[in-house]
Amino acid sequence: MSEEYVYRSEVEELEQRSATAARLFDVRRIIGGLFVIYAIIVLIAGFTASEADVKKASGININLWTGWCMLAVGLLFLLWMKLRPLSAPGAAPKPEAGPGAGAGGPGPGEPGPGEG
Amino acid sequence: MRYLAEGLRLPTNALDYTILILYFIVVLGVGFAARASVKTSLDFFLSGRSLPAWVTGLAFVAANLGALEILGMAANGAQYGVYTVHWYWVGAIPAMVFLGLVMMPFYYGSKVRSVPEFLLHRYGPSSHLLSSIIFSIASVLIAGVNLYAMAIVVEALLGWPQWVAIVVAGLFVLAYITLGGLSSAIYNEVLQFFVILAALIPLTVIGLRRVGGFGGLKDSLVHSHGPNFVSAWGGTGIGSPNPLGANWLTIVLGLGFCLSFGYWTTNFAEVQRALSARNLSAAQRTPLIAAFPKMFIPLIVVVPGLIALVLEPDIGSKASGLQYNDAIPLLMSELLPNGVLGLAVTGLLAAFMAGMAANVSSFNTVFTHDIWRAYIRKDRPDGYYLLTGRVVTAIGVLAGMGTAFIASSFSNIMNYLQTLFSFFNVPLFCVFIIGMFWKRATAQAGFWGLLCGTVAAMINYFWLYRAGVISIPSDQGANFVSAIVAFVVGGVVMVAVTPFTKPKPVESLAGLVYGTTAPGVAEPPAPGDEAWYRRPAVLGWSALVLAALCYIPFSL
Repeated sequence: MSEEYVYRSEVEELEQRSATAARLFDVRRIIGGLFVIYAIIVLIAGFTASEADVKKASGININLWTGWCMLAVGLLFLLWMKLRPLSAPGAAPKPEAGPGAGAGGPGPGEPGPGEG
Repeated sequence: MRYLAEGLRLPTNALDYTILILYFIVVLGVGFAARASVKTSLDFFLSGRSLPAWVTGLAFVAANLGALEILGMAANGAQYGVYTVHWYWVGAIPAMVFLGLVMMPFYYGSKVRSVPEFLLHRYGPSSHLLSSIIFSIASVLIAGVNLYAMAIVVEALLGWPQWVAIVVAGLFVLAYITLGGLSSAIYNEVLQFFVILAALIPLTVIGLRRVGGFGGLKDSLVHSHGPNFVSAWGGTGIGSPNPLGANWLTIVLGLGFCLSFGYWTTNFAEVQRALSARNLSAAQRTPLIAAFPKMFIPLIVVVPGLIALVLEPDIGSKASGLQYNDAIPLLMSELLPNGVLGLAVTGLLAAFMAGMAANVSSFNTVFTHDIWRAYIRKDRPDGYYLLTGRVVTAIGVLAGMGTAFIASSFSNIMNYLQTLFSFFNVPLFCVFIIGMFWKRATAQAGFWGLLCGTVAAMINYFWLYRAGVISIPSDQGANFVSAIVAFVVGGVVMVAVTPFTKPKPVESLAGLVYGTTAPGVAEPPAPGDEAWYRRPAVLGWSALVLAALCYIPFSL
């Protein structure tokens, strides 16, 4: 193989040494957590809303509505994470890792987290 | 953009600041938590090519959903009316689908780590170096302009001095990217995407209620601005005057083809998100998944611009003291009570950081990988380039902050520079697309096509249009025409140069040109990827159909 392709084997090698898949946390935890906390703050504002607040927002207690919606979204993310967790660290060697990379055998359990 | 009205100061309270401070803490926390996952330079620059498609897809939208984009498109809504949707539909969706279905197999499959690197392998060092340098300079500059714009908005809304806003936002972006690399940039972008939605949806809902819903909004606008203002294509016949200064042909060819394909398919700040996906299918799905939210963003960006125009009919005139860019800040101060107000401020800051982080994380990759490593310090161990990437990140952010301070005294020059760089993507797209489908196109053709296309666009814009040699009614219209000129000149030069220069050997083009395959084994699809709703073709074509359907209510 010509020297032109050295970079490809280098990327393949780096991909195998990569720690991202194994060590990176699940972003759904952050989104879910932050939305639940924000929802609580906004709900507090909603429950203590003054006449003027409601009037300013065209007669809607927008904090209450936003709060409930954000709570639902936050909980959905946490639920999704619970139902479809990321695959275990080290599981499922990346399928495109070059020839001979699959020697580690199939990863334990369900390989793909399946979201997306 | 430049001077927000004094009267926009928001009545923020402790609750609002709690929301804002919490956000900054979380952003930094993501950076620290992602640090453990960075072991190699590939982890730092491309998240180890291992992220799921929905994450990279949402980051792909968020990277484009900077605050300049949000404020600017709301402003366009107030100024040009419903024509603004062209930037979201014809001016985005076809290009995103093309990137996913046609170009991504070449990008991802050839295992390049950046868009300029593709040029290196397909053409050679001259076009590679040219595009790497221009991309690096443009990224830092745009990051700086973004920071400066943010400082103005924050000063008007919260009363912080400009330098405080520049330093705080700059240092947070610096910290989280230096720590966690692209993974932390992307994770924060996904988070930012949802925070931006949480900020803009309540604003739009209240605003719509205030003006009597979509029906009331439309009636008021037709009454005050005429029926073409609420139509996407009305008044765009060739030769008929309209505020946009463009006709259907320049909209479709200039915006929809040249500018849009140039931006979405060759801008590394966008493509990088797809290159960090975990396999080819996920990389292809990245822009396709992004296309769906992108299509509906006008609902929460352009609609508020229209609402602002109804609530404040004088906006954009000297008398009101309000500029079109003030549309969203105006609605925030008029409509939002404390609580959601804090969310809206946070969303706006989140958008600024998302836009800047996208520039910085693509800049550090191109500078380290395509300039430093390719031409200055070759063949060092991987750890060296990882460290270089971190140092370059810091330098890039600091240079951006410097640019922001300079921009405050030379804002006109900055605008020109931005226009100038925007012309570079179009011939770049031309060179890519010819290179991907025509084996014979040579290295010299690539370089000269790139250079001549860019220069031609500049001549057209700065000389022919600015000096009044040709008559185009508006800057936007001139932009569209210049993009067409750049594409045509780039293509013609390539075709003219190719026959007289030596072609690259066919073996060196494997996997880079249509009809060849990359050496090595073809990758098997990941489990679950065969599900019908994950097939790129299904996603891509439904995005196109849906975007076309979006036009119907605004075209009848």
